[in-house]
Amino acid sequence: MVIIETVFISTFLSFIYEGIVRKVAARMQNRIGPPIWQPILDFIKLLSKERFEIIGSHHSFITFISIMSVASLISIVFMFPLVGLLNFNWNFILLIYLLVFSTACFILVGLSSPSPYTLVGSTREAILFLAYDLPLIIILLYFAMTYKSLQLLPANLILSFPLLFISFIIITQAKLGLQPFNIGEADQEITAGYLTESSGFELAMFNLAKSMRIFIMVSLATVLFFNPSSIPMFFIYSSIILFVVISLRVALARFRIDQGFKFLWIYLLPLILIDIVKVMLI
Amino acid sequence: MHDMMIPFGPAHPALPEPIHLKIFLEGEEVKDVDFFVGYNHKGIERTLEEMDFSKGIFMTGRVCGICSSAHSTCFTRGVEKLLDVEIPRKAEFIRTVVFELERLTSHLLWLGMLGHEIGFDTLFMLCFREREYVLDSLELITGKRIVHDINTIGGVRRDISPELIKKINKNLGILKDKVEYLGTVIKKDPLIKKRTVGIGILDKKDVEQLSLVGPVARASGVPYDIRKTDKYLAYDDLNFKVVTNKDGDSFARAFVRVQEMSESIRLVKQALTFIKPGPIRNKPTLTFTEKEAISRVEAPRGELIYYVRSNGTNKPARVKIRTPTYANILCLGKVLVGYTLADVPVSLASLDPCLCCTDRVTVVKDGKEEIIKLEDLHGHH
Amino acid sequence: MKLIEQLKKNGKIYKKEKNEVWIVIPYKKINDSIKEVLDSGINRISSISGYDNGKEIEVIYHFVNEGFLINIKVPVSKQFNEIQTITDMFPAAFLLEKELSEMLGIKIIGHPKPGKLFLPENFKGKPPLRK
Repeated sequence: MVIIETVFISTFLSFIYEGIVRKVAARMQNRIGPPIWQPILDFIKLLSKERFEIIGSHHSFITFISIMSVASLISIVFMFPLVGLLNFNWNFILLIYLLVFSTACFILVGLSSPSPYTLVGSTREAILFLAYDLPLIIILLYFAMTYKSLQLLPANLILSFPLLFISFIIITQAKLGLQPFNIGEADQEITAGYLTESSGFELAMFNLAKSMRIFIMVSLATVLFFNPSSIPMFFIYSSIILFVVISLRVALARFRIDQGFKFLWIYLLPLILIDIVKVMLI
Repeated sequence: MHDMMIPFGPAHPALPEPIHLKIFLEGEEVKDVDFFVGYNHKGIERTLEEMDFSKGIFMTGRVCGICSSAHSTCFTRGVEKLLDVEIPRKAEFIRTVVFELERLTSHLLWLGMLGHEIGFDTLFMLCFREREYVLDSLELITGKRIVHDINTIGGVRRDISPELIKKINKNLGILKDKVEYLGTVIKKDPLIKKRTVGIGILDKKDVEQLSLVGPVARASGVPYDIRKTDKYLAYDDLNFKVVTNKDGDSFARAFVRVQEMSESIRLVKQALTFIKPGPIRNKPTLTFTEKEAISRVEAPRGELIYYVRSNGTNKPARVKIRTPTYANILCLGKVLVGYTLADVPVSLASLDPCLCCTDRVTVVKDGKEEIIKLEDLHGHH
Repeated sequence: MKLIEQLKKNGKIYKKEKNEVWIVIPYKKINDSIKEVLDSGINRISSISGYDNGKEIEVIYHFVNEGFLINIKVPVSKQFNEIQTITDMFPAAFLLEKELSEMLGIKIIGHPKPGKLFLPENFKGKPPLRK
């Protein structure tokens, strides 16, 4: 059925997107880098690894959360115009809910273990979430109120909303946990942040969720701002956006949590409000 | 008083070598730090008492992987003081060349680690790429990339031929531009500055009270550099300046090391011009008397001091090593307390710790904390 | 220089080189001598070495002043086996004295945080560098 095909294709594409990120970032750093299908191999390997029993951790809950994080992200794929299965009015609201839910899964995982590393990682991720989520909701709500449904978006909205596009790219960096906002998983300070105590199946699921996040956010940016009508154009625009994301990841260091928080609050809201007010005044 | 304690180490992705820090936090702010060290207890000082002096040179070259020729040069000078033997001038210059090239590798590695600590992987990759030029030059001179057994009692073991000098000069020419580029990156990049300026401030009074050494002391305005005060090896013939900085924060320490890299390149270029055909070692008769000697060098991390004592046999009676990081650990409290947890790796990295040690482990079981030693872990299930 | 003249009153110079001086000072006079070093403006201590020469333990303090080394040797008898801390005058001696005490078995009186430094906490046996 179409549903199963979509699930498999989106999973496969997520892995490929992550593989492209790693490969292109490596090339930019004058290294060779892993092959593009490396994330698929990592996933298969992780599925066969054992789960470490950590005293004080709620394991069945964590497994459930890991599956839910993937499920919520896969559900978003069904709303995209070219797939068109979840085509109803105001499906933006469902989109917002699913995006927030997937982040909540990551935060919950860190809080479910007794390790101080995961606690700090989740706390940081939650703090950053407060900073980038409100602008994201404002953008999506504005589009919801103006265009009602993802399928009814006009093409090439980037021309009318360039500043919204820039702020969406910044939000994407924060949401994907890439430089300069990879604070929740800062491996130099807190081992692996909220994923420190994960292993085996749940780690495979969370890694899949992270890859899907890349695919979802980049595709969302393509749909919102370009809305291409054919599949080849969709991938061309997606690769441009992916390239911008990778360049930011390679060229920048990492913010400290308070610096990242301040940056997002000070710069995102004005950019968004300028564009929205400008369009409303015309 | 403090609501969370984070164990940092002994094994931690942030640390190149094991040290156990207990960081007491309130929220994200560091309130107190407790540290546990034990050098890479290979028992080197005791082992050196069982080996001949000439074998001891190879042993001391392996105390530390990144400042290997600093240790072996210091020990060899101590032994030469015990024997009261002068070495040929050319050997001094060859030792200086290897020493300064090693300072370059150490600082480049350190700069990469700093980039890695603040999440700037690209800087890390770039530094390691530039380091290849230096490691190639060192391999051409000594035959090895990391541990250079170039010293022997009375001189050096290998010569530098004129063709080699040309090749090294070519490498240094390329490296000079790259090091200047890295300096501009450090100075101009806003994120690096955000993470290092104002972090881990040490002022002049701290340096004097705690007897800190190396770039850490020089970045706080104290121009303490053994190369200028002791004029050992060939430094009295060479022209260089002691780099200092007034601010004393992590950025100052980074900048001091970057400038020292440029100075090292100048020093090597000058030293190479002095190398003309001539003898590279004197072969003294190894008869030792009851004597003691102190030998000091400026290793990449600071002052390295060896106390060597002979008792008439061909084995040392005592060798006492005081490494620069050992002297600088005392400032950990001052550098970490009052800043946030995210600044801990940056401050720690800016001190350039070079420790090799093993220590204990903190285990949290059912909410209670106990300190377990390594022996007990083997019987634990 | 003036400090060396003062120290000569308490002890004896037994070696002098280009920029080092080695003085041996008897055990009773050591605290006064170290205070004289501090009062003369020197605040940098580089190292503390210890050596067991069979009869007694020689503790050597290495002070540095602008490239000039002042090495003060104190013989500590094996029966008495203790020495006063200098961390109140030279805070940098904190770790150096701990290492001295665990490797050579000398008790440091007045040290703010005695205990093992490099060896494990429950180490039993002869201090490693005793003969």
